[in-house]
Parts: sequence; C-alpha cells; structure tokens
Amino acid sequence: MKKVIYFDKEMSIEDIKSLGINEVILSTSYFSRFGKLSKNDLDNALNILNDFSGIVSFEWDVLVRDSLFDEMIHQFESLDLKRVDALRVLDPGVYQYAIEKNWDIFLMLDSGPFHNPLAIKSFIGLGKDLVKKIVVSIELDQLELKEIIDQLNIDTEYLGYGRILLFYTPRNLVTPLFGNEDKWIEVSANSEESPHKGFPVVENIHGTFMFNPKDHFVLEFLDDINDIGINEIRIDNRFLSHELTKELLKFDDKEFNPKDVKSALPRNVIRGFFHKNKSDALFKKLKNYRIMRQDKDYLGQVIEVEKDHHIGIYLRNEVDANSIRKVLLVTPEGKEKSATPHQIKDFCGDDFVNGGYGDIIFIPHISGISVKTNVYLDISNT
Amino acid sequence: MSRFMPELLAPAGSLDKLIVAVLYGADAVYLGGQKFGLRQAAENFTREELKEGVDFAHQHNSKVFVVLNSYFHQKDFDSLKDFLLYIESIKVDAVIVSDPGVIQFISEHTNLEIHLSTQASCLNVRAAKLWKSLGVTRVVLGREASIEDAARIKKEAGLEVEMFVHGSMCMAYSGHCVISNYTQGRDSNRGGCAHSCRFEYSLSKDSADKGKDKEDLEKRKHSFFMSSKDLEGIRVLDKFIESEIDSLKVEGRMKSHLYAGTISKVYREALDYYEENGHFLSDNMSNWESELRKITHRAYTEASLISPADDSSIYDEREHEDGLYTSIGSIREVSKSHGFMLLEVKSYFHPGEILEVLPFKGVPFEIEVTFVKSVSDKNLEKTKPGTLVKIPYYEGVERFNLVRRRNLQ
Ligand code: SF4
Repeated sequence: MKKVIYFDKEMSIEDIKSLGINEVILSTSYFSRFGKLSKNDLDNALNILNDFSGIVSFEWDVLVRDSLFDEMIHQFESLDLKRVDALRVLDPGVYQYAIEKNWDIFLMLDSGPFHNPLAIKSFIGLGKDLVKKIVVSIELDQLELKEIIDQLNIDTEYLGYGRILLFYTPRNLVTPLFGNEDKWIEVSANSEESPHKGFPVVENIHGTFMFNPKDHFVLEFLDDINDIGINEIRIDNRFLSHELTKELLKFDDKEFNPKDVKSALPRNVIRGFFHKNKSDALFKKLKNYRIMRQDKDYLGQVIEVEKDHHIGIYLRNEVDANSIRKVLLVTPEGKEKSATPHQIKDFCGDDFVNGGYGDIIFIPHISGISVKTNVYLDISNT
Repeated sequence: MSRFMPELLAPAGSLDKLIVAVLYGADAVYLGGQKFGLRQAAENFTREELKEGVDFAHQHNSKVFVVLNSYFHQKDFDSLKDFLLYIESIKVDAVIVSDPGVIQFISEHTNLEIHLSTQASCLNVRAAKLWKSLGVTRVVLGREASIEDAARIKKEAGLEVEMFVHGSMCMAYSGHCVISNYTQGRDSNRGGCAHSCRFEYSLSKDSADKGKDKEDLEKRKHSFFMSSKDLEGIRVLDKFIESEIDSLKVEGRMKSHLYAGTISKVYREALDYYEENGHFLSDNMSNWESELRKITHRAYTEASLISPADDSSIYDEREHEDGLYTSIGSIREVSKSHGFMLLEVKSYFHPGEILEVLPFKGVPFEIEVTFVKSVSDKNLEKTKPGTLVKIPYYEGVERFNLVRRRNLQ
C-alpha cells in the first residue's frame, strides 16, 4: 500500500525516506483550501524534496470564480514547479486548465460527489491519458468502492486518516463574530439542535470550513482496503503533530496497534461510511407513499368533505359522468373504499355532464374519507 | 426595437404550482419526477402529471425542465432510461443534471437538451468549457458567481448561462455540504439535506480536541452564523438583462402557491417593463420590491450578484415567518351567473373581511367578503383550512387567482 502525506515543515528528508512515503503533497495557503505552506515554505519544501525519489504533487483544490482564476494562474505560472510531478485538482475549471497545460493530473473526487463508475470514467475521459490517479470519495462504502474500482484502470487513493470536511463556503462566517486579526482562525461549534458536539470550524482566505467532530480513521481495515483494489492511502497530517504523523505512518507495520494510536490522536475517530452507507434509507420515510397518486384510472383528489352532505373531488383528467359509475378511494392512511355515486354535481349544483383538469365535482358523502384521498375510476365490475 | 430578454424560470413543486407559475408569467418552469431529484420531500410529478404539466405549459408558450440533479449511485441508474425516454416522448424541453455519468447516459440514449445543475458549482469559464465538452448546453451557475462572471462565461465558453435571481440560498458551495450525511444519516446530495446551516450554534475559540480545557460557557458566542439571507435580484435586474444572462431562476419548489405566483408575477412585470422602456426609472421598482416583501421570506440580500457576499448576507436569526401577507387560498371556480366564487381555503377568515386578489396581470385589488357559505349553502362564521367555500363574485377574478390578506402589524 503506497503512502501519501502532506509536506510538514518539521519533516526531514530522512523521515520521509525512512517512513516509506511514496507521495508528498504540497498544500499551500493560496491554492489549497486548508493548506498552510507559504511561498517561502514551498520553496524550502521543493529544495528538501529534490532528494526524494517519490512523487511530489501540488494541491490546487480551492473552487475559483473567474475573477480569482486569472490571478491564481498568474501566481501558479510564476512558481518554479520543476520538481512537481502532478497537480491535484477538484474544480473542473482547474482540471480543464491542467488539461490545456498538459499536466499529469490527480483528480480529487473526494468532495466532488461522483459516486458511480460512469461519472468517474466520463470525467477521467476528458483528461485523456493525463489523469494518473483518482482520489475516491469517503462517502462510498466498500461494496460501492469495489464496484467502481473494478471498472477503473487507474491508481486510486483513499483517506486513511484525516478530518472530514462537511461544509465549504467562500463566505467569511467566523470573523464577523471573533474579529479578523488572523488569516486563519479556528473555533469549535455546538448546537442544541444537533446531537453532535464540537464541530471544528476554520476560516481562512478561502472562506469557511466546517469539519466533523470525529475524524476519519480506517487504518485497521488495511486488508479490506487492499481487497477493494485501493492502492494508496493518504494520511491528512495537516492538523496533526509531527510525532503523531510518524506513528500513523507505521500503519503497515506488524507492531502497529490502532487502538493505542487512536487513543493518542487529538480527537475521536470514526470509520465513516467505509463499511456501509445507508444515508439514502430515510428517503422513503420523507415521502408519504400512501398519498402518492398512481396514474392508472386516476380521477382526482378529494379537496373537501362535508359530513353527511358531499365530497368534493378536484378533477385531474378529462371525464364524463357516464364513466364515473364506480370509484375507488384511497385515503392518506392507505385505506381503500369503493363507492357507486348515485349523483354527481358540478360546483353550481347542476348535474355534472363532463369536465377536465381543475374542475370540481361533488358526490354524496362517504364516511371515512378525508381531504387528500385519491380517487380512481373503478372499472373492475362495471 | 426588440431587445434581449432573459427567460424567467420558476419552480413548480406540483402541477397546481406549475399552473400558477405559468399563468402568473413564468417563461419556463422546473420540476421533479418521483425520483432522481434533490427535493425528496416535495410532492413531485407522476408521469401523467408530467405530461399534463408539459401540455399545459406548452399551450401557454412556456417550457418545462425536469430536474435529475441528485448525484447518482450505480443502483439509481436502473430505471433511468425508461424515465428519460418517457420525458423525451412528452416533449420536455430540457433536463437539469449534476452528475457527469448521468450526462453521458442521457447523451447516449436521448436527444434531450442538458442543463448543468447549480449543484455542480460551475464558477468559471474553463469549468463551463469542460461541461460543454460533455454535452451540456446551458450551465446553471453556482450562486457564488457574479453577473459579470456569468457574462464572461457565456461569451468565452459559448453556452447559455442561468443564474438564480430570487429565493433561499445554500450557504455552502452547492454540492459541497455533507453535514446531513454525517450528522443525520441523510445524503444531502441525494435530497436529504436537514438544513443544519439554519441551526443556532454556540462558538468558542477553545479547541474541541480531547483533553483540552473545556470552554468557559460565558465566553461562547451564539449565532446562526451559517444561515444565509434570501437572494433578491430585482434591483439588479437591469444588469442581468444588459449582460444577456439567458435565464433567471427562482428557487423554491417546496414553497407555497402564493410564493410561486407572486414571484412569477413581480419578475414578469419587471421584465416586461424593461422590454418596453429599456430602463427601470419608475416608481414601479418600489412597488415590485414591496410585493416581494409581502411573501414569507428571510431578510433579503443580493449575495454575490455584484460582489462577493459579505457579513451582511448572514441571516443571524431564528427562522420565522415574516411575510406581510397571509395566503388565504386560491380561486377554484368562478360563476358570474350564480354570483359566487369557490375558494379553496388555506388560512381561516371571517365574513366581512377585506381580502386581496392577485390578478394574473395588473394591480392586486381588494374584495369584501360579504358572505361566506359552505358548498351546501350554509352560512359560515369562520372558514377552516382544507375546505371549499363560496364567497361573492367579483368582476376580473379568474380561476387559479391567489387570494391573500394583509397581516395586522
Ligand atoms: S445544510 Fe444548508 S448549506 Fe448544507 S446543503 Fe443544506 S441548505 Fe445547503
């Protein structure tokens, strides 16, 4: 399993070599959403990495409006990036720029929510042979990951440890409350309305970011990750001490004890959706399928009920009186009732002859029927 | 002289709302089928309703766009082809999509026109070019793009641009918020957003890391810091027009009939005024603004339409209803000869009250409800929501007109 980390100012080239790191990401404060390297740090890093035989990638994962884009391109093209092997991109515009410039590309789909093989393949296809790696989403569970990776003929990277980004806006949401003397401000947020406590919130020059209170950690599932076909693990050490980063990077060592490492980490961890993502399961409950109309033989919906007098039906289809011999009514609770209306009136109280969408007809009251009951022509025994 | 005029694109959360939006002046409506969209809790359209909606809109020279903008997982593709062929057969005008896999699938199986959803957060010329190369003909830009950005994207990428002009706003870059996924187990990119950005939070500079001193509760700041004000673009409508933005979109498929009708009417009148006069130098602007204040809304902002949204775009308040008017209902039938109109009641009212009718064109006018009767002709002292009542006939009132009441201040 290849190891990918972010360049950390305290890290020496010896550390990088001895820990078996395969790729070092340069995450700058200007091009990365929450990178911290300054221009000077970048130059130093590039010097240090001259002796590194692995991959050096440059992260450009901020989303950009055109007014900023021109300036960013200007800055980017003024950097001496000879030692950089690939560009990690998120914004499709930056992806297009990398294609135009013929860069090798590591396409980051981590926050880009592409969750099916066709989406990923069609996006890779745009970059032709330039896309060398896909950073797959941590919202995919292992079954879906396998299904996707089986169809990709390309390296894939997955987040082994790191913060989970929940929310990204370019607006400044923290400094209005805490002042703006710093370019980087981190606060923690709690809400009575959420069962989760202690959301880290960062504001920097790119906007405001909210993270999950618990970090992503799947380093004890290396065998599963291998089976899926993922070949690179990223440790997002940007919010971690140098010492702990070194501990984490021993994840493929026999001596590695995930339990001990987890207890030393600054925050609690979760495995997120790695084993199962059921975040679409609640949708069925959001909809009241019982009141959802069926198209076949649909007449309309009950719009009013006057006890012992009438039921008003809001017609949704062309219909004439002769065809309404028998009706089937399905209440919002799912109860069904058949009825044979012996009279049908229009809204003026005259006998109904025919009508269409939007007309209202009245049939005699039927007990147990409420507003929003769906009404169908019952043609079973007519 | 004929001038460039943008399309007015209104939300249609149901067939009735589609009818309302079209009759009040929308050039196009967008709506969702039973699957594949982000408004899982909306009523959405069955196949038959889709056909009725398309037929109705086309009869009134309006277009219909079907939203398929959730991010698909493999299993979501199962019934997609059948649905696409159906909507193509009923002559839907375009589909709104975010997922590149879905875009490719649509291109392979149909000739449907494809618009890129705002969920894809397209913000720049290069991104637009990339999407265009996948087959997209129009991009609904991210709400962070300005009108100036949009004009440049249109010119340099060579495709149509659509921008939001009115409605609620996601505080996050669209498609880049998964708060609900992790905190509520509901995928916000498949319609499960729990609106966590509208919660009140207490914030502290103290770290939430393990073992760190827990914060002094006194020092915490309480704020709805992630909640955005609602977008209102009426004051910069001239900029949209002069920049030749192709389509102006109103958010709100989950909102009321009164909302769909009022917004369509106000923006229609404003656009028509400009088309005729070439400017907005008239008192009408304040009338339009005041109409927009009558519907339920959060405080308004122009967000990033002109320059990037700043602190003033944060809605630091608990959600509350602050419309100046209440929706009373809509007219379902009108009978001049019998001297009454049938009103579907949304909120209660009494005989003797003065209500206001919103005509499809022209100035809202008052009616005095001298009687209120049930369908069976019983006099009523008070109406109940969810019923039909007879009220006196007034000249000029039409079926589907909306009725409202001024709230006591
Ligand atoms: S929680 Fe707020 S910001 Fe996030 S998707 Fe929902 S509306 Fe948008």
